[in-house]
Formats: sequence, C-alpha cells, structure tokens
Amino acid sequence: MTSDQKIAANRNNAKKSTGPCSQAGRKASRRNALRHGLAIDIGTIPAFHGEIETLARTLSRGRQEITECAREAAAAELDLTRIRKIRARLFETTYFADTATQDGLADLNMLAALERYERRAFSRRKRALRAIRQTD
Amino acid sequence: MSRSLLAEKPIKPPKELKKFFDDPPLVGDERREDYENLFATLAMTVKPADAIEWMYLGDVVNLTWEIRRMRRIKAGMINSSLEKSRTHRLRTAAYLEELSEDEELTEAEEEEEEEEEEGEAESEDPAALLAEAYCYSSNTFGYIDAIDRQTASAEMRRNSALRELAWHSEARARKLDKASREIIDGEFSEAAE
Repeated sequence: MTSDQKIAANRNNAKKSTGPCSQAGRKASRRNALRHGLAIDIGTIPAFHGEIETLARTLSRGRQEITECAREAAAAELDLTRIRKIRARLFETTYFADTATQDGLADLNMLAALERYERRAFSRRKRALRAIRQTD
Repeated sequence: MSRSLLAEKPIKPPKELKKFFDDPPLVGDERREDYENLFATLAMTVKPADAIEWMYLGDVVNLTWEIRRMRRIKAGMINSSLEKSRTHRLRTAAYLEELSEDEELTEAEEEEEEEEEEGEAESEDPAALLAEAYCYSSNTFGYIDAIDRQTASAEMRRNSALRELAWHSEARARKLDKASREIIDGEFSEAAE
C-alpha cells in the first residue's frame, strides 16, 4: 500500500507538472494526440460547413428546406472523399516517397486499419441516402 | 474501353458534384487519364440519373481502381520473387558447373549429370517455378496476406456500393411507375367524367 508520505510527495510533484505554459507551447501540444484526424466528425470542422450545405442543397432538390438527412449524407460524402485522399497520401508517402519507411508490412497494416473510418462513413451515408429516397 | 462506349458522348457529373471527382486519389505512377477513362466507361454504362447515383458511381470507380492497384502490387511482388528465385538458381547452377569443371568425371557420373539436367528442364514448369518463388521469399507472405485482405475488403465495399446503386435505381423506377400510373388513372377518370 502507498504510504501517506509518498502520496503527499506525488501530489507535490504533480503540481510542478502543469504542462506547456507559453501560447506557442499550448498550441503545439494541442496537436499531440492528432495522427490523421479521421476520427473527428467532419461536421464540427468549420472549413467544411459551406461544402456540406451546398451538397445538402443538391440532395434536397425539389424541397424548400434542407433536410437533416441531406446534411448527414453530405457530411458523410465529404468525409469519404477526405478519408480516401488521406489514405492515398499515406500510401504515397509509405511506398513511393524518398522517405519511405523500412517496415512496409506495419505500414500496410496501418493503412488497412484506416479502412474502418471509410466503412463507417459509408454506412452513415447509406442510411441517410436511403432515408432521402424514401421521403422523396 | 470498348469502341461503342467511346463513340458516345461522355456523360459528365452535375456541376455541384464535379469537385468530388476532380481530384482522384492517385498514387505512384498512376495516370489521371486512365482513371478518367475508367470513370467515363462506367458512367456510360450506368448513366446515373441523380446526385445519389453519381455518388455511388464514384464509390464503384474508386474501389475498382483500388482493387486494380492491389492486384498490380501483388503481381509485382510475385514477379519480383520469381526474378530473385531465377537469379538464385542461375548462381547456384554456375557455382556447381564451376565445381564440376574442377573434377574429372567418370562415364557413369556423366550419365548421372545428364539425367539431372533433364530433370531440371522438366522442373522449368511455370507452376513449379512460381512455387519455388513463393518458397524462396517467404518474407513476402505477410505482405501478400495483407494485400489480399485489403483487396477482399475493397471488393466487399464495391459490392455494397453496387447493391446500393441497384436499390436506388429500383426505388426511382418504382416512383416513376407510380407517378405514370397516377397520370394515366387521372386521365381516365377525367374522361369518365
């Protein structure tokens, strides 16, 4: 069992580790856990809002208002496009760039692991598009 | 691309969707022109009627492209192993020849050697060579396995996209059928009045 003295020492030490203090340090550390950004919901990225709305309007053709299904399908379609581009870029850097790594098999397995994001986006879009067709 | 399809005027996606197809995910020495040809051929075959069908067509094109890429990579790996295996064989043969030149052979040994050479000629069977290539570079098994898994996954996704395309076309056809029936029924009821 941990002694009280040790717990107190741990707490004191923890107070000293407060992470990056400067603006630049905080900005840099914000991206520490970011690997490819595919887990982020595209709808929460402001840069994509305009494109989502434009595509959703195309999918809601003939209606006065953009439906939620159309928005969902548009976001999933943009997500699919984004995922495919990222996978292609990773493939390119892994196998064709001068900086290609030695452990090709591990990279290939990592690329395969990224497929799950594509499958997820595909299923999301499938459900939304079916809902659009049924309410047409 | 078949001649009859090329002769027709290519079908282009609607303006709103054009940007989704403008930047295909190509890698290495893949040519944009080849991708566009594949897209045009499939678009001419399917003739998508609306944005939803264009989206699924885009999926099918992308996944078909990916499957082709994976198959090319796998073929490249096997060919490379085959080449390595052939080089290894030639080196071994040259080494053995060098050794045999050093020692004088009796008549019986010469006969034996001739038989061995005949046997070697028989083992030039392509299947045997391929098997030897597989055995020679067992370190590529993991790669080939990973490539096979990715190909299978892409094929599954492509089949799913094709099923969706069929579902949407059928749903559209059903709606068209319903709408045309309503018009016909309306005309008849008007005429009856």
